[in-house]
Amino acid sequence: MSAATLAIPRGRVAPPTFWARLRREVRRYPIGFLGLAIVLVVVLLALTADWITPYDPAWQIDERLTPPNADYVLGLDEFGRDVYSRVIYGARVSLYAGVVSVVLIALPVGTVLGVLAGYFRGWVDTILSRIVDVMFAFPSIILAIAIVGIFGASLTNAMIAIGIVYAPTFARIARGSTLSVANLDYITASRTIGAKHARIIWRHVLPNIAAPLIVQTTLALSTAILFEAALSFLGLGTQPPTPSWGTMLGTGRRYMELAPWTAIYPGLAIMITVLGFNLAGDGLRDALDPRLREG
Amino acid sequence: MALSLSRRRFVLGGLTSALPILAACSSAPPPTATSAPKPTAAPAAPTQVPAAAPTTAPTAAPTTAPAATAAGAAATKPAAAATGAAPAAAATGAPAAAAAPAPGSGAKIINVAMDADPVSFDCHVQTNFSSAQGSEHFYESLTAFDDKLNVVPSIAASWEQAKDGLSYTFQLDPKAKWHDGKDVTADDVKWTTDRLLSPEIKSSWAQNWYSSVKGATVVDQKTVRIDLKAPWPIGPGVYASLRGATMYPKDADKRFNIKTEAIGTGPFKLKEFVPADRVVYEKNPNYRQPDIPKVDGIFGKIMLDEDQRIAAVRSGTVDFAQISPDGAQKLAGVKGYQILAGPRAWVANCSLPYHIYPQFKDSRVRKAFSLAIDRQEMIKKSLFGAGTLSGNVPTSFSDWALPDAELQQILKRDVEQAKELMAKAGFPNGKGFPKVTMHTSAQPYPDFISNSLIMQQNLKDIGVETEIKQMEWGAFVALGSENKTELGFTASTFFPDPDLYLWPQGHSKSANGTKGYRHYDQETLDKLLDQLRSDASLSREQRRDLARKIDRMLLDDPPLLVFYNGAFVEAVSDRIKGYVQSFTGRRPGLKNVSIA
Amino acid sequence: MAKYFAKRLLLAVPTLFGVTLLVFTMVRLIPGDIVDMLVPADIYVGPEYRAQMRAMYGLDQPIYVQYVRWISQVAQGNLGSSLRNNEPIAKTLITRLPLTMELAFFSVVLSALVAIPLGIVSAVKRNSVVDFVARVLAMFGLSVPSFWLASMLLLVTSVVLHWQPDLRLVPLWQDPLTNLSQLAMPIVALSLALMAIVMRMTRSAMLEVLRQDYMQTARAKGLLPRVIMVRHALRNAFIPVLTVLGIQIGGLLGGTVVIEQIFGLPGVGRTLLEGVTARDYPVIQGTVLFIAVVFVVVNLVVDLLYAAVDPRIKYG
Repeated sequence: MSAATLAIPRGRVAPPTFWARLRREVRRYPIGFLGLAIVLVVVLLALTADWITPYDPAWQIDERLTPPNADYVLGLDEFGRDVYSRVIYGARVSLYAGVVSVVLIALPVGTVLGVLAGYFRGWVDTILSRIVDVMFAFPSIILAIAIVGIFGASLTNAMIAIGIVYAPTFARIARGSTLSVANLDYITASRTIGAKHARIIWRHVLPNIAAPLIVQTTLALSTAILFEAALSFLGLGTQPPTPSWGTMLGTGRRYMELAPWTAIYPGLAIMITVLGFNLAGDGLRDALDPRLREG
Repeated sequence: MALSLSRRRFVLGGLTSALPILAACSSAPPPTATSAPKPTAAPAAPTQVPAAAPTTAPTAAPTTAPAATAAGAAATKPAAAATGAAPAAAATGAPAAAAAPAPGSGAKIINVAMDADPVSFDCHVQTNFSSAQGSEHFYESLTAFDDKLNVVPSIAASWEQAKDGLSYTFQLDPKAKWHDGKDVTADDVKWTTDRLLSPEIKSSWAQNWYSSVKGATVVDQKTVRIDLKAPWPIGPGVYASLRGATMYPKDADKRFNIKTEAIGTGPFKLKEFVPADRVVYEKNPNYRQPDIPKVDGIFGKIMLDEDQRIAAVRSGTVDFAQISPDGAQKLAGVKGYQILAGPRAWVANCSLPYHIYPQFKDSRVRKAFSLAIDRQEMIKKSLFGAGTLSGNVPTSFSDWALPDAELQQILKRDVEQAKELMAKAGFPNGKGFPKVTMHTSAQPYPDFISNSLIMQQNLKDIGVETEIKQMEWGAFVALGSENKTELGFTASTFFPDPDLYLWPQGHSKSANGTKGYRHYDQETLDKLLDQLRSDASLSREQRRDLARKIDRMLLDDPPLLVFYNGAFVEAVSDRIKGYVQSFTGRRPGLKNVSIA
Repeated sequence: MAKYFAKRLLLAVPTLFGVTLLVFTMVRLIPGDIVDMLVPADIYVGPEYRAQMRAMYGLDQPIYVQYVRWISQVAQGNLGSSLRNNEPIAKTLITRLPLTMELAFFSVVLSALVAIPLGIVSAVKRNSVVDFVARVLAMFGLSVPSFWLASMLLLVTSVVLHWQPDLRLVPLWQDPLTNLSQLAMPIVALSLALMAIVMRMTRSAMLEVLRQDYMQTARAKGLLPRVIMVRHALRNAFIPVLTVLGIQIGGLLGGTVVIEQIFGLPGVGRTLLEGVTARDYPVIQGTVLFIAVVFVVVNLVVDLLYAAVDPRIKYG
C-alpha cells in the first residue's frame, strides 16, 4: 500500500500526469512522504542485501568485538561477524516480522471483530467482545510459548503468535471507534433509509475509524520488531545465525560497555524504521481522512 | 591456608588484561613467578588483538601440572601477568571501605547476589542445582568435601565399609545438633533414607545416584548402617555432594513445610525464604565446630539478571556475585572487589543422535566430528577465554581428570584428518551426509548457543551442513526426555565421582548405548566401566588410573563431543576475608569467612 | 448504571470461563511437564518411573477429569498449590500483587502525566517545533525495548552514580521513600514505551476531534478556545486514550515479566514465567485466571469512565 495511490482524490477530473500529481501530493504531505521514503529505503536494503553486503552475515572470523574500521565499517560482534552485513540482512527479518504479524494477521482480524461488535451491538457484540476479552486477558507470553511449542520454533510461528496477541487491541480500538461513529447522525440516517450494512460499514464506518487503526498499525509495526526481540530472547523467534535487529540488540546489551557498536547500530536501525513507519502512518491517516481531504 | 590461597588467586588486572582462570585446585602448588604457565601449544588460530583491546581475550595458554600432584591441569595467565604486572595488585588496590557497608547496626551480614531461585529445599525431589546452593548453609549430610575434594566427616564423624562392600556403617558426631537443639540420632538418618527411597515422593535421585541403597538400619543412637544392593564405592562422595543427600530430622515433613522451611544442622539457620526475592540465613550459635561461622548471617538476594548483579557489585551493594566471564571483563578494575576465576565442573558438550541418524554409529564419523571442532575458538568466544580443554571428567576435578598436555594432543583440531575419516566412511567432503539439526537453548546458559554457532561453522569445513534450532528451555528439556534431541548442546555440572561422568556416556547399558553407540572395543570398555562402578577393592590411585584410561577410550571414540570446562567466576568484596571457591560450584567456603 | 454494572459482572463469567478453558488446554499443549523438568537429562530415570511420577501429580488422568477437578476447586475459592514447593498459589499471588500493581499504576500515571499534555500540545501546535520534538521523543520511546532500557538504567546508576537501591524490599506503606527508590528504575523502564504510545494516541485523537463538525460549531458559537478545549476536545479525545491506558494497565499485570526479572522484583509476571518455565500447571492456571480477573475489573472501570467522559455513549 503506498500513500501515493491512496491519496488519489476522489474527484472525477483526471489529473494531468502521474509525476505532477505526485509532486502535488508530496507538497501536501511532506512528513508522510518522508516516512514513506524511509520505509522504501529499508525495503530496498532488505531486497538488495545480497549485493550490498561485503560478508555473509553468519560468517565468523577469528577476531571478535573489533571496533569499526576500514574492513568492518560497523565493527564485529561477539562471534566475529560483520555488524554491517548483519544490520542490512536484519532488515529482512524485521520487515517480515512486522508485515506478517500486524498487516496480515492483527489488523484484519482485529478490525473485523471490532467493527462487527461495535456496529451490530447486541448479542453479536456480547459474543465477540467475550472472545476478545478472553484473548486480551490471556498473558501474551503464554500464548507465544504455546503457539511456538505446538508448531515448532520458527520466525513465522513467532510472528503468528505476535499477530494473535495484537489482534485484540485492534478489535478493541475498532469497536470503541465504531461505537462512537455508529451514533453519528448520517449513519443512523443511512440505517433508517435501509442502506445495506456492508455498504454502510464500508463507506461510512471504516473511513471514519481508520485514523486510530492506522496509528495503531504503525505503533504495532514498531512494537512487533521489539516483541520479536523479546521472543528470540526466550528462544522462540528468529533462529540463529539469522540476524534480526531485535536479537542483535538483545545480545548486544551484554556487550554494551565492551563493544557498544554491537547494540547501537541495530538500535539505530530499529529507530529509523520505527520513525519511517510512524511518519508514513501519520501521512496515510491525513490522506485517508475524508473530511481533511474534502475540506 | 585459606587466606594465603585467596592472595594467590589471579585477579583481573586492568581493562586490558584477559580474564584469567586459575584452573588449579586449592591443592595446587602456588603459582610463583617461576611456575608461571608457559604456553605448551600455540593457539589454534592466531589472535589479532585490535587496537582497542578491552574485548579480546587471548587464547588460553595451558600448561601441564605435574601428574604426581593433585593439581588441576591448566591455568591461563592474564596478559597483565605476562607483561610483569602483579596480578594481585588490583585485588589490594582499593580500600575495602569502599565496598558494601554492613547494613543494620554493626551486625556482620554477608550480602550475596544469588543467580538462581532455590524454589524448594526438598532435596529428595528437587534436582535443580539452585536448591542445593540455597540449602547448603543450613543442611548437611553424613559426609562433606574439603577444598581438595577429599571426602571428610560432617554429621558422621567416621564410617567404614563392610568387607563384602554391601554396607557402610556411619558413626554420628556426638556434637551434631539440630537447630532446635535436639541431638542428631540414627533415627533421623533412617527416616531420611526411608523418605528418599519411599515410593510416595518418587525421587529421581533414588532411581539414580542412590539406586544401590537398600535401606538404613539403626545400630544404636549414634550408629547407623546403610545397607546396599551392590557395592557402592562412590557412596561417601555422593553424600558429600549434597544432591539428594541432605539429612532431615525425623518426621520433618510433618513438623514443617519441608520445601520452604528448614531445621538443619548447618552453620546457619534458615531465617526467611521468600521465593523469587530472598533467602535470609542467621548464624547458628551452637554449631558443632566452635568459631564457625564467623559472621552473623547471610542475606541472599535473588538476582537472576547478570546486569543487576554487576550493577550491585559496581555500587558496592553486595559482597558476592557469580558472574559470567564477559561480566568479569566488565568489572575489570572495579574498586573494592576481586574477581575470582577458579575451576568448577562445567563440561560443555554435544550429544550425538545415534537413534535418529545411523551415520553416527560409524566410529569414523564421530571421530571426524570431534576432530573438526575448534575447541580453542569455543573457549575464546563462548567463555572469553575462561575455560580449559576437558575430557569427560572435568579438568581440575582433583586428580581424576586427564592431564592437559594429553588433552591438547587428543582434542587438537585437525580438519584434514577429519575429512579423510569422512571420506573413508563414505562421505567425501561431506557429500551424502544428511543435514543435521542442532538443538539448543539460549536460556539460561548463553554459551550453549554460542557453541552451536561455532560448531556449525566448524562442520562446514568438512562439508557437513547443519541447522540450529533454538528452543525455550522447557521445550528443549522435554525434547530430550522424548529422545528426539539431535545434536544437543548442554553441559555436565558437578558429579561427586568420575564414574558418574563416564558410565552414563559409554556403557552399552547407558542411554547412549541403548541409542546405538558402540565403542570399537565396547567389550573392554564395559568391563572397565563396571570395574570402576563396583570394584570396592581398588585403591584411590587405581581408581584414578582406571578413570583416566576410560576417559582416554571415550575421547578416542567419542559417544558425545566434549568441548571444554568453564570457570567459576565470582566477584568477592574485599571486606570478606578467607573465602575459598569450591569446585562443586556451591559456596561451602562461606562458613569460614570473616568480615573485615 | 447499577443495572449496567450488574450486567457487566454477569458477562465477566463467560469471559473468565473461556480463560480457564484456554489456559488449561494451552499449558498442556506446551511441550514438557513438571516431571520432565524434575528429571534433567543427566539423571536417567526409566519411562515406567516417569509414568509413576506423572500419576503422583495427577497428570495421568484424562484432561477433562483434570479440568473438572481444578474448576470445582477454583469454584470453592481454592487456586491450588504449586507443584514445586506446595505454596498455596493464592497466598503467593496476594504477596506479589501489590508490587506489580504498584509498578503498573505508577508507570501508567507517570506516562499519562507526561504524555497526555505533550500529546495535546503536539496536536494543537501541529507541525511546530514542539510537535516535532515530542514526536521524535515518542519514536525513541517506541524503538527502545524495555529490557534494554532497564540494562542501561542499571549501567548508568551503578557506574555514574555508584548507586543501587537497598537489597531488602520494603512495602510502600512501610517506607514510601525507600520503596520508591527501589521501584524508580523499573517504573521508568516501563513507562517510556508507554509514554510513546499514550502520547501518539492523544495527539492523534486530538487531531481527530479538532476537525469534527461540533468543534466548528463551538467555534462558530464564539466559545472561548480554552472552554472548547476542555469541554469538547479533551473529553472526546479521551476515549481512545482511555482505551489504550486501560489496555496497558491490564497488559502490565502480566507484562512486567522481563522488568521484574531484570530488577529482581518478586511480582505477578515473574510468578507466571517461573510457572511456565517449570511447567507448574496449577501456578500457570491460577496466575492466568487471577490476571484475567483483574483485567476484567480494570476494563469495567474503563468502560464506566467512557460513559463519564463521553455523553454520547449511553449504557442501558
